[in-house]
Amino acid sequence: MMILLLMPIILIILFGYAITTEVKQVQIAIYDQSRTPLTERIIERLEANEYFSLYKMVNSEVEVQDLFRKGKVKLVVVFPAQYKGLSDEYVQIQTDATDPNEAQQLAGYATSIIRSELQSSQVQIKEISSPVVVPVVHLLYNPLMKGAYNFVPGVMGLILLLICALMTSVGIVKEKETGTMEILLVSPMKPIFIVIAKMVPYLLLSFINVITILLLSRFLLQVPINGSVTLLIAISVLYSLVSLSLGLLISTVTNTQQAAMLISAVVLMLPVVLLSGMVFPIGNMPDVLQWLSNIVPAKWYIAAVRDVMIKGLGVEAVALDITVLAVMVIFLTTVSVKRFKVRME
Amino acid sequence: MLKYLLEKEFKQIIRDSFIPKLIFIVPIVQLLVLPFAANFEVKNINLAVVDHDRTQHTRRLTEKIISSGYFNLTSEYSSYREALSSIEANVSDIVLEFPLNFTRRLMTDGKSSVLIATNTVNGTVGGLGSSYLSSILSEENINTAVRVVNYFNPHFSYKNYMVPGIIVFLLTIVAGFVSALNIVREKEIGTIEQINVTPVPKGIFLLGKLIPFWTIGFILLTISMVVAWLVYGLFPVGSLGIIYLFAGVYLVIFTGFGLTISAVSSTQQQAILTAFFFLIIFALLSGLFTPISSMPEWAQKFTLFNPVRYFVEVMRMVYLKGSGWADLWPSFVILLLFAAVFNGLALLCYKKSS
Amino acid sequence: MRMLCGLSVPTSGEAHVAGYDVYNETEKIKKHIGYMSQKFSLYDDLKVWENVRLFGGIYGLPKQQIIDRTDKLLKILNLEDQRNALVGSLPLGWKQKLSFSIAILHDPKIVFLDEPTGGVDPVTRRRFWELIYDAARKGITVFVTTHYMDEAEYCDRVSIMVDGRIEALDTPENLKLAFKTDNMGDVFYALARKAKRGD
Repeated sequence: MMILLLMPIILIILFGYAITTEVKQVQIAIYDQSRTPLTERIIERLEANEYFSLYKMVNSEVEVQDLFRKGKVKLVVVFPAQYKGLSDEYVQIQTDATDPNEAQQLAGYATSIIRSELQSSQVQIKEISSPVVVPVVHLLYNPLMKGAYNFVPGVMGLILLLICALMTSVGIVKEKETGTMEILLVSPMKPIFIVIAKMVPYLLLSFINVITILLLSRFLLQVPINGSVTLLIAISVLYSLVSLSLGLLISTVTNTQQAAMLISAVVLMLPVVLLSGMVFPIGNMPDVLQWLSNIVPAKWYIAAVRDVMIKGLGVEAVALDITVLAVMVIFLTTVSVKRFKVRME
Repeated sequence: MLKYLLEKEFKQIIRDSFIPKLIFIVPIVQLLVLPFAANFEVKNINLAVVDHDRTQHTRRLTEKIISSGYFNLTSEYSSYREALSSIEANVSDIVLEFPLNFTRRLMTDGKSSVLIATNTVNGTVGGLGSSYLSSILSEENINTAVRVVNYFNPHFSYKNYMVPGIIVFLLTIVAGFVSALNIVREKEIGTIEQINVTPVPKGIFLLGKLIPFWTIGFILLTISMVVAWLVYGLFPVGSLGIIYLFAGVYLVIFTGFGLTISAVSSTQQQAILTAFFFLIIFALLSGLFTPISSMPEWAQKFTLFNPVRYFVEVMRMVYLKGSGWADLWPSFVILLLFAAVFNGLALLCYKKSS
Repeated sequence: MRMLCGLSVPTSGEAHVAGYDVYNETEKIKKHIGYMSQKFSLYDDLKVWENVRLFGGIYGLPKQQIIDRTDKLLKILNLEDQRNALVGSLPLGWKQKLSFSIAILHDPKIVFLDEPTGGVDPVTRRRFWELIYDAARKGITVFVTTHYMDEAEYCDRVSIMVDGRIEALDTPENLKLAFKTDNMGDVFYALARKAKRGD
């Protein structure tokens, strides 16, 4: 059980620090066929930049291909022979587009570094007289573009589901397997109390985890909590209840621990990771999956947490999410209590 | 002796209601769903436009942005405040505001500014979105002194990038979980004791467990590659032999990993949690979802001790770049080392007596 | 018993099984013993003949011998019709007989039975003991633990353990004589009364 307390901490640290797509210190190679002061200045600029780190100067196109195939560099800048920076000459940027996003980002950075050096060297023939549009960019909510802002709500959704649904379902099914459930059921205690007693420890555990995650993200990752903490915890408790009732439902339809785990993993964990918007933007998915994502409780929870925690919105903004979650609790509990009774007859 | 143990394991696997399903259904579903869901391709960014200027020029710019294919025009708003509230409601991701007199200033001063406000809660969408928008706007004036050539995946297909990685992910999960549950299950049922009082050597017993999972892994790999080919038209540029060679060693690693966990756990619940714990760390720090070069120093060091990292790299390189033995042999040596370590651990942890 | 079979490591003392030391030669011991645990532990998801074949194979019997012995075993147990049944589907009494027969399939010098007859009716228990006598007649030493004192009567030598120590070790006749009674139950009660441990 130590793992259950450790897991959120590890996940928060991993997501907070390690899981980012920000570009930095990417290995590049340069194939300079002219070796003039101009190309050397550009190379210097590329090297000095935090985005890139020079792996090697290469001397042939064959060598470039070899580096790409070995996966040593992601980008190669090729200067043509006798390059003077004139407008009819081209610096070539070759990328390894295996990872398309990274490739596009890298090409963009390299292009702008080269352009600005060309401009400041004033070698570019001044024929650009067309008017200039200057974009002023405001980055809202997450100006440093930290991955953590995106992932913290997702990790909360995942952990709560793992503890409440997976552990509850496996716990109850285990009692079925070993036969202790029968002893409890023949006792004069009402079945509903037996179930509640099984759930409370997990509810407490998830409560501790929510607090841990919030503290870690606030003080370690410096993710601000812009909205009301009370609201945040209230939503988390509601979501825990959804997860618990899901776990209960699974325990009523399965008889072995393996089956319970398989169902929890395939029916619960996978959709949370994939379809909740935790990692992958829902907007990118095909319509079927977007539509499917609506029945994933975590989607609503994560959206609500993002709104409250990061955007600092109030209860009216998350009213829809709360309603959907509440309906889910009522529906799932009703169904599983019914099934639970049927099983005993 | 091994022959009889293998016979037993295979029969048990075939009669199990759980494993055959796991082998066939899970990979197909995952391969069909994951690449669509695990999509960082930044397209269809929802754009809200606030045009105070309303000239032909601003309209032309807006059209140009929409026709770039990256943006969806959600709506035009009359004030920045309204547009901002559409971001809060998650209706739009980016606001583009043309100020009053934008066009006139552009003509008279030769310079004019627009405001771009993006929702960066999701850093990738926000960051890429605003840089696309900026570059479309500034293309207006900068003549191209730079030409970009993209190799290996020139159409920027995110699926081509994800599918080989997902196949690795699948192999890891199935080999890891199924083997992690195996010995501990025999412990829970009690059959392991009957084996432990026989003179069967530990190594033979573990080998009897390992070979069936190894076979399952190969079947899984083949199914996955066929699905990848049929559904995504993705076929390795490099040699199939290399993929199977690496997969052979890789499967040994994760079966050994699972068997180690199985040997030290006393209940299935415990085994599954432990396996989940390690696999999630391995998966997140493998470069499968986010580039390793973006990770902090300590995490990059950690990835050196992560077998998933090497096989993800190898699969992507063989699938997309057609890298060959000469490029990949260092990874092979490293994977062999992992196989030795994990299986040595399994041998060490599995005790015939308590 | 678990120590003698090499399943647990002894903390102190000294013991030899079939001439081998229980500390260093456990794997050699395992070649010469059979074992049947109180938890039924054949593979439920294998058929009857498959279980026989598996354990025959593990003990290194030649192929033809496994086939012959399987036939013979099924005949003795009257299980020929159940040859292709999954072991999990058999009644407990049959399972126990099968389990015992498999434990002596490789002609061990000594076979350990850990409370082999728990949970079955007296008739089935009686039949089980007939199997034990058959094995003993073939020259296999049978080592049984039991809680049923009537079963103890069937044995040639009985040892009674109290608080983990052997308090008595003799033939049933001699023990009954020493405790001046006509049944083993009384011998047991007389010894067990001294027990300090609660179980």
